[in-house]
Amino acid sequence: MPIASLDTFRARGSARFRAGLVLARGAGWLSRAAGTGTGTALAGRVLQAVSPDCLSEAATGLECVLVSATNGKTTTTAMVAAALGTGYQVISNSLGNNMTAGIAEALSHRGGATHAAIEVDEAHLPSVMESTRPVAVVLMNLSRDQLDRVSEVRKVADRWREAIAAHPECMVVANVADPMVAYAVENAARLVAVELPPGWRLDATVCPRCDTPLAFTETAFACPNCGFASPGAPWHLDAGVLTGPGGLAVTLSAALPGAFNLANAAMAVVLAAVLGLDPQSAADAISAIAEVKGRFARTRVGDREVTLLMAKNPAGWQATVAMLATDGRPVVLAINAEIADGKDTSWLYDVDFTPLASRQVIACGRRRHDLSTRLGYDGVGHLCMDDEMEAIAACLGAEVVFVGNYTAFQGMRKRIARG
Amino acid sequence: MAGAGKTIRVALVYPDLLGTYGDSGNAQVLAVRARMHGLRAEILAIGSGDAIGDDADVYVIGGGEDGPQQAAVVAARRDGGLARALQGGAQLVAICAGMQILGQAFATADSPSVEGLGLLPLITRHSNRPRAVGELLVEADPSTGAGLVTGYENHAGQTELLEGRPLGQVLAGVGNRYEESIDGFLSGQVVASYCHGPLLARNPALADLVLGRIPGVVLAPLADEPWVASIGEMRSERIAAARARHRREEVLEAAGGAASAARRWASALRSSGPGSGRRSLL
Repeated sequence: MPIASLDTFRARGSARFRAGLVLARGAGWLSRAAGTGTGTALAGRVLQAVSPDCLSEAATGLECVLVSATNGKTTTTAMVAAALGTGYQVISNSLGNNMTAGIAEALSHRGGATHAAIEVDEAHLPSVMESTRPVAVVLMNLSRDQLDRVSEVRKVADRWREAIAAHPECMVVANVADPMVAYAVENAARLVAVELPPGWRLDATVCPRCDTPLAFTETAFACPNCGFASPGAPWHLDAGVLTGPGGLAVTLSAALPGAFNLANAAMAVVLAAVLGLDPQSAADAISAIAEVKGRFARTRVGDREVTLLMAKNPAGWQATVAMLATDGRPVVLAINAEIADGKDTSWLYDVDFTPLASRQVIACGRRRHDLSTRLGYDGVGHLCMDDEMEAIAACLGAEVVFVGNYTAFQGMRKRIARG
Repeated sequence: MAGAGKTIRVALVYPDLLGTYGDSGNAQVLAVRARMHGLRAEILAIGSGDAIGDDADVYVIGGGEDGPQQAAVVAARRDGGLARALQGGAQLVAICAGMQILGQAFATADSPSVEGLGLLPLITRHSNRPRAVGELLVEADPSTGAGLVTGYENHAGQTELLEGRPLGQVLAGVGNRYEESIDGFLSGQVVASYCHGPLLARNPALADLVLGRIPGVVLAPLADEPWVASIGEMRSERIAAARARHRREEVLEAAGGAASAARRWASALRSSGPGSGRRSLL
């Protein structure tokens, strides 16, 4: 395990940046050697401490594409990387961390890459845009997530709006079917509008401009007071077919399950198209992705085949439950409420679990009693067990679906990796 | 209208606007527990474009963000149904922003005073103190028979009761406001609180209290369902977590007191100290 490749010493940039890289790689190596993880988080922090401008330096000379949303940003970033990969050499922050230090650390491994596909935390989009001067941003949705520590959805949309106004040269590929996203990109100089099938709307029930309740139809929204409305879009996704300008039609297929993954794929294909790549080749590359950071992976646990899913917030859970509605496999649901998950589990009552009612359900995780109570009030018969592995073993049938929120999912991956 | 033949009508007011923190669950808990007690129940979800109506037995109103909260007060004032329903003797469960808009006035990030519906004797103001976020533990008014009430608070507004009594005494967390250890508002018709969770899911005794206050309702013993044991487990865990918050805050407060004492000591030493070398050390 080399501490640092020759690359480290040949890296472009200021002396401070290069010094930062050497120290960061050393720290990362120590962290890996100590068995505390991949070392990228620590390396990123060291890099940022030594070289506060590290992200602009790391991004210099790269054509960056930023991907942000409340849900689907990790998967869509992987799809954007695959799409860009049909024409370019691509680097991505696929291992890690979607804030400044982690992104800088990831980009510093660029090798011969000309393009970067970068997942960005919603709250960090403005600063990462400032540092990386992206050629394009891809924005999918905004909804509530960890209300105990992240500010209101509207404030995030306002910050996106300011950042987009500050970078008129940046192409903005945006799902304008989401009212919060439509509001954020309203004044974008170079907007590529996409209409995805409507998703979670409960966080955009009032007009983001004037607070009047919005009127919704199946596919559109409008404010009866100020006129804020669906802007219309040249790109549409309908029943798995992406249509675009000039009669373009691409049938999307994804190895990944769920309607939301077709929507994620559509965003990546549009991005590829507007950057001059062939949309069909991009779609083909995307359809080959079978898992993303362990999400959607099928793995063996004992004599069961387990599909691993992560859902972090009400919108993500609702989409996941909808996907599982037509599926008879037993499900193990695991809920934690660590800082990374949000400490308040009230949101469980914003998710309708009734589609799971007629199958085997087991509630797990450190907040399994909250989950069990919620399932009980929804009339979903279930067991409550403290150990996920035992829960999987207790499932009837050879195939099981495991759904965890953030730390529950990461914990499960670690346990499976340990065997 | 009384007795087993009655269908309890639970009106969920504006879940589209005041549905941010899971409080719509309170309506579901009321309906499900009514059924578990051998009664019939239905939920009427009233969107912000709909008439509220004054013929439900219980009205449930929840928390939300600033913009939707303002839209809700505008719509509810124009509608007038809530006021008529309360005059007619209906029960009301109001949480967080839902409680605030029922008062005389409340504050948002943009405006220090927005006129409320004036249905509850309370007023909510801005504060420069940090947002109150975390497990909340309340010893409920003995008349409720609810014992310890657990919830999760998340609010910036500071609520003062102008008359009447609170839901209970705060044992951990902030509750209505930093200046006094009380949470919510309680009357013969109203249970109001800063507790999300949702409140009635974490505290089924309060749900049964509200149901039992509906004229003509007699609650049969609860049907036994295996998952009900989880409610008790959850309550013990959350009560322990709230007590841990309280201990943590006491330690922080003591540490803060010690730190400010140390700062006073240091500045006294500086002003009386002999030279600049000494000063730089401090």
